[in-house]
Amino acid sequence: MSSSTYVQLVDLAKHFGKVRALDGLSLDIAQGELVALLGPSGCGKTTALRALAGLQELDRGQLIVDGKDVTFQNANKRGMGMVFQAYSLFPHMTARENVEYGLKLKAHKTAGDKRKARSAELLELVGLSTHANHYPHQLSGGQQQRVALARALAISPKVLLLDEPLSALDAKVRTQLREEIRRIQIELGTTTLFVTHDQEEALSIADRVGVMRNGQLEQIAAPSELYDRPKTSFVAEFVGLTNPISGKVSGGSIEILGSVVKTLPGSVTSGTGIALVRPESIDVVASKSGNAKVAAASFLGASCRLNITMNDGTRITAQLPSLDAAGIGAGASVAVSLLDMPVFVKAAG
Amino acid sequence: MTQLQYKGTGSATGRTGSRYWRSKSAYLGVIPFLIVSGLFLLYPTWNVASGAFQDNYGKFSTSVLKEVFNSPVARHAFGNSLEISIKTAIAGAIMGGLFAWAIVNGKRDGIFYRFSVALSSVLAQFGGVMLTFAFLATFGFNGLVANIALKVAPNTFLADSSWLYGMLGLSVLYTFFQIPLMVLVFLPTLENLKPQWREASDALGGKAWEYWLRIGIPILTPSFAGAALLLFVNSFSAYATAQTLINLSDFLTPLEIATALTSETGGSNPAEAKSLSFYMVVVVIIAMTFYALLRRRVSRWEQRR
Amino acid sequence: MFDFSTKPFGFQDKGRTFRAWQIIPSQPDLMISIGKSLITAGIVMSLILFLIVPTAIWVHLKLPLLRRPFELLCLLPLAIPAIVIVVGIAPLYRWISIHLTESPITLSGVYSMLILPYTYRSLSAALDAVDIHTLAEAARTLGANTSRVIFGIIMPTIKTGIVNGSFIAIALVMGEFTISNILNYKTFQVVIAQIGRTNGNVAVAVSLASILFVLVLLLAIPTKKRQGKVLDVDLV
Repeated sequence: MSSSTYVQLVDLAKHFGKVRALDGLSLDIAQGELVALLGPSGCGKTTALRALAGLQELDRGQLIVDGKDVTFQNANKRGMGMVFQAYSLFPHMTARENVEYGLKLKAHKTAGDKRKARSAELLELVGLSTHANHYPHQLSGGQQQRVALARALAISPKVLLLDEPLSALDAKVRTQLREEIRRIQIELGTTTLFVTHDQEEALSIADRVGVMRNGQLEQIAAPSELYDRPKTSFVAEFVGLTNPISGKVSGGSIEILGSVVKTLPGSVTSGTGIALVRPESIDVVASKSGNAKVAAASFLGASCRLNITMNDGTRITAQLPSLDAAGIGAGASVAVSLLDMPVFVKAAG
Repeated sequence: MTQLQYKGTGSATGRTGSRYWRSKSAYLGVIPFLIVSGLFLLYPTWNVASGAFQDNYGKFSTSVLKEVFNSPVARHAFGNSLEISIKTAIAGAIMGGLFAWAIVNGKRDGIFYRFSVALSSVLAQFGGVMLTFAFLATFGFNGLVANIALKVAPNTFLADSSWLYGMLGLSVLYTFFQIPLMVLVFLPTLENLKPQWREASDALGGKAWEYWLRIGIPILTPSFAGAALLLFVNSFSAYATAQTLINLSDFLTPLEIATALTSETGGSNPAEAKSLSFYMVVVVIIAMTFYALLRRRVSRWEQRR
Repeated sequence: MFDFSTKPFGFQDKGRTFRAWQIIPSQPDLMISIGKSLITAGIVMSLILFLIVPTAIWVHLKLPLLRRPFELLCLLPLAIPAIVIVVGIAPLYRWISIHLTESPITLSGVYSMLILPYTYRSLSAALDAVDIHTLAEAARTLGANTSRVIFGIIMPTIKTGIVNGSFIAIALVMGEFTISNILNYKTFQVVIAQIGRTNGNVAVAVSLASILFVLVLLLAIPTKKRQGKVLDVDLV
């Protein structure tokens, strides 16, 4: 818990009928930090976000923002900027009018010229100055979301809340826009909560990522730590690719692919376990007397993905930089070994 | 593989040759429809339009049109028609709108919703004659409410059923008719009022009235006005209800038209019927034009997908 | 609609019986007219299935230039009230009743035109929602001929649109009064009105019965999520 904790979600619980959307979720967000909530649909991440925004009532728990308990405060008093997944722009107003909407309300009443200056500033920030007088139906999906972002930022919110803002957009637009969101967030220093089901998205822009499942937080950590040192099998499998390889576990290590590697905390401690090995932890070298054969090779540009069948029948996927994989194609005989990195081992069966 | 399969698949290379005609042969497919619609829709329309500009002997003249225009009886009927249409359109729009709002706020798949939609569809299409009887049974002589009123409050208008048979009664009856239509027409619009807009407004700090003032009402108004226009046209064109209830042949324009066409006393006057019809159509077309304009405005906003 | 429930009492008052209801089946005019109206509805349905829907599909698929005119044609009945249509079509029906037959079933012709706007609305919404071009092309490459494509592939796909449109059509046929009354055909509604002049109770009973019947039917049809509105109107 950092000393500049700005937002605290304390033990949130909410059920819909029989389903427990939130089951004791606790989370801190430091000032200026971008935390991503990542998880499959139904894990409760959107519920948590909406609860923080004031659009969803809770069964139990506390929400604290900037030292104040806002749990029972109305949504329109919380001073949060929210960007929805889609359809949230007011269709009968131009982009500029949309952005200015918050500043026309009694809550943030701003005089005419200051308002215009502010909306111009924000539209410039999101790169849409030339489209200021366009209506939402004249803008592309990506442009609409930029306007939504500008609109949320116009009121200088305490916290910025993004509910899967990129999920409805094309892949290329998604990548572009997520980097812009991050850039703007850093520039303005706004404390941000970002919800998504796309792990690449979360890993690429967040300061910390919280992986959720069934209403609970499985692990929250910086992206690299989440990737290299997952605490549960769910996290290990949800984030990035894994090769499940079984082997014998004893004394904090597991024997697979002819090597012995350490197991991560939280792993199974004895008996047979299934190690979740990252593709880039597998070393592949061309060798006439190797222990495996390449079944198929996919060239991905900077790296190469190899589908390999071991001599004992195990099938794994390895990933190498393309330069190292030169000359290794389908049918090639290779020697496969493991880099010395600890792995997470889950229970067999 | 028959000739049929090549209908319309060739690209026209040059304006002659079998390829060209084959591609144009796709147009043959609409001929059956054209025949039917020509007979039962286009012909009568043309008949009325051209007939309005003829006299009863088939010669071209605007005399009947002018005669109808200047006739006090026709004007009176026309005025009545307009009056009742406007009043019931507004009343029906407001009440129907509120009812639609009540429906939308309920459960989407619940019984109340389905029942209301079903009932509205039935009443909107099905009802003129039968609805009139319903009213007669309730408010007319020997009707349920009338009988009760006679015993309980004999001096009020409820006891004396004659109000039902005049402008007031007809207006009430028409309004009753308009409400289901309003529900059917307006419900989709209300359903399209995205919850995200309300939430966005809230998140930005807006109060409920601010949302309605700046977002809700501006978005709903064109659709509401369009719906009201539809109600107006519906009321203006109505015949069945009036015919069943009122026996005066010149109270409303549609009734006048019917009399002109089928008069059992003296000769029928088709030219007069056509002229009256012509004026009716003019009014309807004006209303529908506004409606189309409003609709275009709304669909612009809806162009997201 | 809440006063409908008071209707039965209206005629039960006269001796508090269901006599009015009981006489219903024994009114020959009424029964015949119901039969005739139902047959007319059936014919209109066939016209929808075999003329209107295929033409609509054909236009959407092959004749994009005609789409706008076709749509305008289908919406024309909205601008021309029934009362006006009957004025223009009277000579035609006079001819029909003299030279062909006096049966009200011939009204199917003009009825099919009256329902055009509503049926077209349902159809067009359904046609827009499904990519019929791709479907047609896929069917073609697999070897289907034109009629197969239309009747076997596309029509089932837009089933909901057709069903909705048909329902309104039937309602209109059974409920139509204006044209049949003026042209003096004895359709269902006309006969009810006639009975109403002499025997109000029976008329009310019949009206209530038919409305309830249709209501039950409608409720029995499951409503679909988005496109399942019985009157798919364009104000959206």
